Amino acid sequence: MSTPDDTRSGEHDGSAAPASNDEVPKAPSPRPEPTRRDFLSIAISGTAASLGVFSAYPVVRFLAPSGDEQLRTGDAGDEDKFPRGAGRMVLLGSKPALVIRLDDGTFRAFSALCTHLQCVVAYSAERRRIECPCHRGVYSLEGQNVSGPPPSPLKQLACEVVNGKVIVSEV
Amino acid sequence: MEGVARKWFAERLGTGALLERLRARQVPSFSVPQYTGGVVIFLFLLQVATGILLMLPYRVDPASANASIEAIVGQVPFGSLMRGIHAWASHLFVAAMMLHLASVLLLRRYRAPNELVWLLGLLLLLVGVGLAFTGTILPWNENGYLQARVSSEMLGQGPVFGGFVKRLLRGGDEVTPWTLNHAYGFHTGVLPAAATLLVLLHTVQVHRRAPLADPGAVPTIPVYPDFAVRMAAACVGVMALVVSLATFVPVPIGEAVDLRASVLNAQPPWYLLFAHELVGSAPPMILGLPSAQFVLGALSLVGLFAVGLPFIDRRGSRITLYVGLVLIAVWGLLTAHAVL
Amino acid sequence: MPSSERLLRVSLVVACVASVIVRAQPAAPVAADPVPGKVTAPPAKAAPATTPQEAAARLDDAKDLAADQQGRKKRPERDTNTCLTCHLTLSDTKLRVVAEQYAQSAHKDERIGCAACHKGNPLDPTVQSHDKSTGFVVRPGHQQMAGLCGGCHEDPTFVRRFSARLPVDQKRLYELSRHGKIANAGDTHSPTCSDCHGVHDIQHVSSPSAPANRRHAAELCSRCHADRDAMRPYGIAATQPDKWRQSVHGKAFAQGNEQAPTCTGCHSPHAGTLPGTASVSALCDRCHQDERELFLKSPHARAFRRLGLPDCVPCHGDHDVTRSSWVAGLAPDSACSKCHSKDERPREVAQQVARMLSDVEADEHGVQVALDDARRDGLYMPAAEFARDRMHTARIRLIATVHTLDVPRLQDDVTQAKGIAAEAQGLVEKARRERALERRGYFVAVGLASLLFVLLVLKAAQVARRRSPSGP
Repeated sequence: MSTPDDTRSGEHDGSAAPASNDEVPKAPSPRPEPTRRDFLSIAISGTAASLGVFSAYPVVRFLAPSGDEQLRTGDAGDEDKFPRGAGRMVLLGSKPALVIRLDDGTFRAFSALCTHLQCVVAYSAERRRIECPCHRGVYSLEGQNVSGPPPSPLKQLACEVVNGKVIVSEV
Repeated sequence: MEGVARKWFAERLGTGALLERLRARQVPSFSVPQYTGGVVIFLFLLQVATGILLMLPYRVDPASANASIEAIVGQVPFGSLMRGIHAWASHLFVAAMMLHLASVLLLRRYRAPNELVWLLGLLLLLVGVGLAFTGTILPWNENGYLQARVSSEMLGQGPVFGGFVKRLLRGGDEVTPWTLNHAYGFHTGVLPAAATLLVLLHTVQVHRRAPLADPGAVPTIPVYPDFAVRMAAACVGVMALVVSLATFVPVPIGEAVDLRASVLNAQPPWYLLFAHELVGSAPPMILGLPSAQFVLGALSLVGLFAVGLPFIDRRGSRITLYVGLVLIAVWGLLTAHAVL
Repeated sequence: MPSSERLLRVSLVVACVASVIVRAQPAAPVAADPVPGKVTAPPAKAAPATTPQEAAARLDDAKDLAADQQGRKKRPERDTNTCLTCHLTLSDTKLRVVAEQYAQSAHKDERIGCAACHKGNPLDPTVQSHDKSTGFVVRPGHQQMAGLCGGCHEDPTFVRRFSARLPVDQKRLYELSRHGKIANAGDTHSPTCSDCHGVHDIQHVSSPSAPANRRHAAELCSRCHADRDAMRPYGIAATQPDKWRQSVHGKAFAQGNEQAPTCTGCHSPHAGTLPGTASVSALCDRCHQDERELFLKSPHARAFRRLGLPDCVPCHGDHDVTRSSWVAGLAPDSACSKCHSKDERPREVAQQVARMLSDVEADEHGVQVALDDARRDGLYMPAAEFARDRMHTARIRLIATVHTLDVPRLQDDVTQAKGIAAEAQGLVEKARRERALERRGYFVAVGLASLLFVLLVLKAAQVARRRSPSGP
């Protein structure tokens, strides 16, 4: 804060926080003030302020991602919106996962990559089984390879309901 | 108009008196420990800010920790930037701490009446390295998991407190999925709180006592506005460096660790390379002890010596300078050897 | 004591001990050929025991005598396979090794015994057990082997005493096979049971050390079938094992894929060519059932029947099955060109199909390259990776549906696959564009920061200058 006998008028905060200008001295004393001093302080304040705003933008976007940018680490949606006997595809990181809700209400989750040639398997609600479109491999609802070329069962994933949402994760 | 607002806040927050005090306070104008210390604090605050941001989308569950980081980097807007800043700043943070320590040691600023400052600083070093260490466990990738296991195993060989340290780091006797939760609690709660408290004590203590043995010998500047401006410039420079690194040099996330699979080699973090190199290149038994125990014991002795340094070397003799230089050189050689 | 005397005493002691040891060795091995009169036994030319009880009675007498004569202790329990017990103690390596092998083999159960194949009298511990009257055979003939093995292995009652799972049709199948037919006609080069399974060291086929184990099938068959000289008299090329090794099946098997077929996957190990089948294509759909069904919908199915061609082999080969994408097309060595060098419409179809396959393959490759590049630059695009997985699915599916040669339907599949590829590329592009935008933002931010840095430095200088107007 400026005081009357403070010879260092036109002082500003040198810190990076946005500062305000001190362009007009309160007392109308005709103290000659070189324009360069003002310019520097104004420049610093202006630059710092714009840098602050510019940096705030990523933070704000980070804190409030819009709908289609939402995290989808294995979030298969709301439990009550997941009908029994239905299946849904979800991404676990970058790997596809298949979530099924059995008729008794429990959830099962598997890696959706076929163990034969890594095609993406699909759930058939009519036939209540998991099928691979590539060579008609068939998996049971437990993920067991029951027919066709797949040499081993589908990789099991963990699936649980957390706060009403169905969450899939690696075992 | 802005002056009016400023005055309004100043009257209520009492910033005027604070600024006056800071104007009166003098600090050395070219003190390396001072500037490095400021950089450390700045980086710490940056880590706290980015860390809090990252806490929001991160999942602590061992089953989806790695996937959540992939999602942060791939899906959250500016997620890769925040994570990149956090990852790079952690390295710079440890480096700055080491520079700060080295400068204090070589300039022998630990002498009376700064003994408490020195001890608090050593504690802070432990806390800082602990923060970095727990941070590498959080992505729950092969590298973090393995080096957590290896490093905690190695540190567990230390004398007396070895077992305690190992259990402290692991959250149990073995590295299990619980270790992740344990590390998370330390990384986001215990250690930042401890660090904040210690940093406050450390800096307050620095500025409380008489700064130098002979105040007139060194040119000084007032904290406000001179030192503040310089420090601000340094911080802006460091920030630019961190953001540049985060933007152009990606930090790999690594695959999620599969605890049942056979694992590959992992690299310990660069600041622990010297210890791994020592243990690795030592013969199996030294003086009847397994080499890991011997090396850890020796390092603990060095640590004890460091703790007692202000009391041993009251006059700040040149011997400490030379010993310090030698230690730094040895550390550097070991690290370089491990890297190459 | 002077040293020379000590040396003398020591050498005397050593000599005594050595002689005792030497004396304690068993008697010299009994020669294979019976030497009459060497060992006195109950009536040397007596007929073999007709009942076990008689044999047991004779055995006791014989044992007593034999034990006395050979200085061995009397053994209280009955030894029903004295062949083994005696041969195991022989110092002639050849005679002992066969017994050692047998004692570790799958046949070591005492209910089987050496006499099952060699005849002789197993209850007789003396060399008389080898007497011609006992029917003893040193080495059963090549033609007799199948009969000997089949004596037990065809009898389900007997086999089931030892294993609930062993099949009992090996001999019957073998006799249907070419191996069996020419072996029975007297050709000793054609393999019989012992040539593949071993003789005294037979192990269960599931054991990894058994020569007839599935894992070693190719090596076993190659012993003859890769030998041009051995195969020449039969007019068989010796190229099949090599062809198989170069094929997709051989390579998959070598990489450890247990599901891939080896020789025994298509050739019955005992019957050779499966009885009643004209071509191996009857077996292809054991694994490739989808392709077979799709093929049957194609015009080739009727045409091949009419021409008397088997199903899969004309295009894919039998031993040298190669990657399917090399089969289609109009290249001189492609499968299509083998028949359709002049017909217009089939050539069109061939060209289209080949182009579809290579396009889709190129698309998938392009997507993979784009993803790899992006990953290397630090971009993570989970949605794009998923699109790549779907692209892969579409391509693998197409390789199967191609068998229908139904061009319009294939075109639909190709269009869908291309759509997925475009989506994947689009997602990668989007990520890169966002990254570029971020980069632009970065440069603005760093520009501002540098400007601020410079201004702050100037400010620090200004403040310092003002403090000491005479200079720093």
